Amino acid sequence: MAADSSGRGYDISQWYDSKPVKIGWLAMLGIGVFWVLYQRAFGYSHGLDSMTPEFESVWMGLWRFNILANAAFFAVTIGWLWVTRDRNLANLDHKLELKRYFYWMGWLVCYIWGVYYAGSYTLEQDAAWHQVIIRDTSFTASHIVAFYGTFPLYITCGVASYLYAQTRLPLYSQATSFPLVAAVVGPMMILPNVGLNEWGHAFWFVDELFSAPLHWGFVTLGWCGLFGAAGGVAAQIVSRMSNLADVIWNNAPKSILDPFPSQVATGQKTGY
Amino acid sequence: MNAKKTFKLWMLGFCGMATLAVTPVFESTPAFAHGERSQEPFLRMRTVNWYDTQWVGKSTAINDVTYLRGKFHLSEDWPRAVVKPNRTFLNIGSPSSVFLRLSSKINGTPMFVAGPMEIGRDYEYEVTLKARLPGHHHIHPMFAVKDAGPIAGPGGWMDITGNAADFRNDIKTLTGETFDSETKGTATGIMWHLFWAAVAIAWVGFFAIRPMYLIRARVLAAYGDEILLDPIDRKVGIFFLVFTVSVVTFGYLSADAQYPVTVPLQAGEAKIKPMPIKPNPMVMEVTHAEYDVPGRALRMVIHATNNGTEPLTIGEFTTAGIRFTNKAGAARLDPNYPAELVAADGLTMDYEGAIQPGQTVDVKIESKDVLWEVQRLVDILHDPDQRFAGLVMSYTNSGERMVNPVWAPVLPVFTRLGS
Amino acid sequence: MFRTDEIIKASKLPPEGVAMSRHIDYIYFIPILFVTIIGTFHMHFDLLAGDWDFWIDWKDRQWWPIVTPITAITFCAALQYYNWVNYRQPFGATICILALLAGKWVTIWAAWWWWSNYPYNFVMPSTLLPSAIVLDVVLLLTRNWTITAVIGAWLFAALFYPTNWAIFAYSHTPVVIDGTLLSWADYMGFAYVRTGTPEYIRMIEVGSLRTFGGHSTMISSFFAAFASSLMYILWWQFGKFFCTSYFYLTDDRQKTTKVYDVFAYATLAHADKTKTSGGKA
Repeated sequence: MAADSSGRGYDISQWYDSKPVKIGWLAMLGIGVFWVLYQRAFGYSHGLDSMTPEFESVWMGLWRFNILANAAFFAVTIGWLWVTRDRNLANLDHKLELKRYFYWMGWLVCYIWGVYYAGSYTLEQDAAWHQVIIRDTSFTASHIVAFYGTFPLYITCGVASYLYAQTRLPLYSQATSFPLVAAVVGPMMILPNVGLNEWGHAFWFVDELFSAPLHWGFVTLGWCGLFGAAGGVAAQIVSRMSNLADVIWNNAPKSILDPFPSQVATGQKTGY
Repeated sequence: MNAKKTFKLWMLGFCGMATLAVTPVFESTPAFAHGERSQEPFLRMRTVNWYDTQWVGKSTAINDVTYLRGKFHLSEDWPRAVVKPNRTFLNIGSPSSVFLRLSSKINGTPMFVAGPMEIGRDYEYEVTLKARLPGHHHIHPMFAVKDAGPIAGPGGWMDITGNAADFRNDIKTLTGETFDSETKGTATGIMWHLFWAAVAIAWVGFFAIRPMYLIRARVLAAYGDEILLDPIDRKVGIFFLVFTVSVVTFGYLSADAQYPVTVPLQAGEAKIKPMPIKPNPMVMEVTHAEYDVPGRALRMVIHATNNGTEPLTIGEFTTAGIRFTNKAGAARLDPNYPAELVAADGLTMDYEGAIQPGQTVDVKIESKDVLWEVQRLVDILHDPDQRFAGLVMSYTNSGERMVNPVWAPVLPVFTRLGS
Repeated sequence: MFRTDEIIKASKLPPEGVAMSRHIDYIYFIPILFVTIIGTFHMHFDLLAGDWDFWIDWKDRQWWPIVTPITAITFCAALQYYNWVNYRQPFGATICILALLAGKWVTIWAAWWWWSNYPYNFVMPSTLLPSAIVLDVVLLLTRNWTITAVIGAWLFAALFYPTNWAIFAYSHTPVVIDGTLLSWADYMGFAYVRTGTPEYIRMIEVGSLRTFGGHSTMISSFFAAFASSLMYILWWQFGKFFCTSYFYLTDDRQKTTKVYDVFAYATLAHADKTKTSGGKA
């Protein structure tokens, strides 16, 4: 895009590109719509009795698809992010760094959208579907999408967001952001917490009481969302982008971009 | 563009795997059973012994009324792992609310709320159902016990015909109005939700139309909040405060005026008396029982005494809603009882004749059918407490039926040689 | 009408920088912040107060007005902290409840109604939007979170029942079925079959119910208001914990130090001020 094509006097494409986030979000939306339509199509016809061969093919088929697709998605995404990592972060152009922050927010958008599927939609859908079936398996038509579809999906997006920051953004390559770790690891732990859920439903709370204590593990892990996009990480993004803006547009000294002075002489041994 | 290429790759992969995974869909035929078979044998055999279950009217038109009836005996051999039935509720297992439950009576007493029931006693229920959603539905009576969960009874098929959109359920309230349960309150509720959402979006939007984050963070950090606290925000805030509280007050008062007579939710306890104990001249006790794993058969030795005045013939053994009958029992089978739950000649005995008045016999009874496998009662071997329970039915010549609950520990037999 | 120009001037960003800041708003506010709240707050709410919100026959006088505001004020307080302390934005509570209801209504339509065939009135959620707006306005007007904890949180809970009475009053109309008196809500809960929700699960009207004159709702709301105040204070602090930005630096000895990132503009602006005022700050 030419610098002045919009009449703004500056070229937005130097620091902003929304195409990947649009593609990523639409892909996430697409898989979500696929799941919902699949549930509508085969829920009542094949999803009421887990002991039948139909259930095995239709619903466990979807389960296998979810596992395979998520494994492939994880391998491709994480592999691609790692292989294409920036090996020269020290000389990163400031406007490009701004742009990378927008790309990174795009990753966060996809991650958060996956968390939405897991924490909001499929979670409450579980309550609705388990009024229809007699819960006879851990792999109900609702769980197959929630636990084995949306959970790995957002976990991959979360790990990818983390890796993107670590491999492409100077701040995160130098230090470990506590809120970012919490924001990715907290919801990630929701998957293992399914173990508590299934154990609890088998031996402890056998009715569909949603506010039962066996579900509270999910709650505390959900709070970790506050660390991330809703709070700590967002605050980090805002302050870094503000610093970059000062360097780019206000001729501020570049030293403000190095918030961790102790890391200036990297590789140099600290005295014992 | 890297992202685009990667995206294309993903989509190709997804489509490939979707094809693989979904292929079996098109080979299989739909089945509509409910997942009762996953429940452990001890839950299904030793808690509620269902009998005389009737799914009245195989096909019902939308808005028409039909019934689910039957009796159950609460087993004396109630498992230690299951909480005692101190708070129970007779429920329906159906794929969604395909029927509306108009009434549910146990021994003639309505059961809207849960209540205690007695182990070792019998209960008769009738649930009145109004057809709501068309289809071919598998319907179960279900007995839910607080802290033990639902225990599914036998499932039978009930068809509903017609158009779901025609369904209505008008009920006259005590204040003289008529409410349709499908729609009453929906429009008002959605209206209020939309209204408050609009007000809230206006409130947030009032701040969102101005720079929101980075600029304000800079100003706040450098100069404090004097500039940021725009006087118009305070004025608009006061307006929203007054407006919100006024509308809430108005909404509350007008709803109160519209529905002046209200009652709290009714959270009592159903007090249900068990059926009177019917004099039963037949006395039975299981002295030995074994489960033949390869033969798929439960064998028991029953020590039976007829203390009555008429000869009694054993005709049926039933457990977990599954019925094993011999000729005498098969003749008395309800033809509408789901065939997949009946082993019509699954019951054999070494003493087929009637037990005469005053006679005591030891009868070897074998209930044998692939149903043990299909219904997953074989899993008794995986139970932590290897016992069974059920009901043995015997008949007088005039057709009167005696129901004897039986229960005993079960020993597994893994080879035919052992028997 | 607004002070926007003055604020932009104070931020010392050129138009390109302002545009950049607006793009952050676009990608952050709805797709990230709002959706995060839906995903996490909806889960929190459903798993702590969900049953009272799902079913019309759980909306009693005793537990519903207590459980709902106490569970909901949590994220409202944390998000108020973040938006107020960092940006002086007074909409933290309102976006929380908006997000919750957005998540809920999608599910009500797509899961409860479309998949499980329950009518909307049976699973109608309650609303806390007026409560949230009032909580936000109190923070804006008082500019003080302690006063907001007392007055705002109190109003938050107290407004809950009257707000929702407008939606649910009808459901307490008495009906007689099989010679038994029920509220309409009880009848709905009985009529629509739920395989996973036998009647005894309901946690309603279960206390001693000695309310000295039958003011159950008032007593519940009063207690909910008090508890909400405490919850607000706790969760404002949680907001501080969850929304604070810091890093861990690990040196070659694997010794870890906690460091805060630097927001440079504050320092830069003060340096400028010092320069323009001839070295006297």
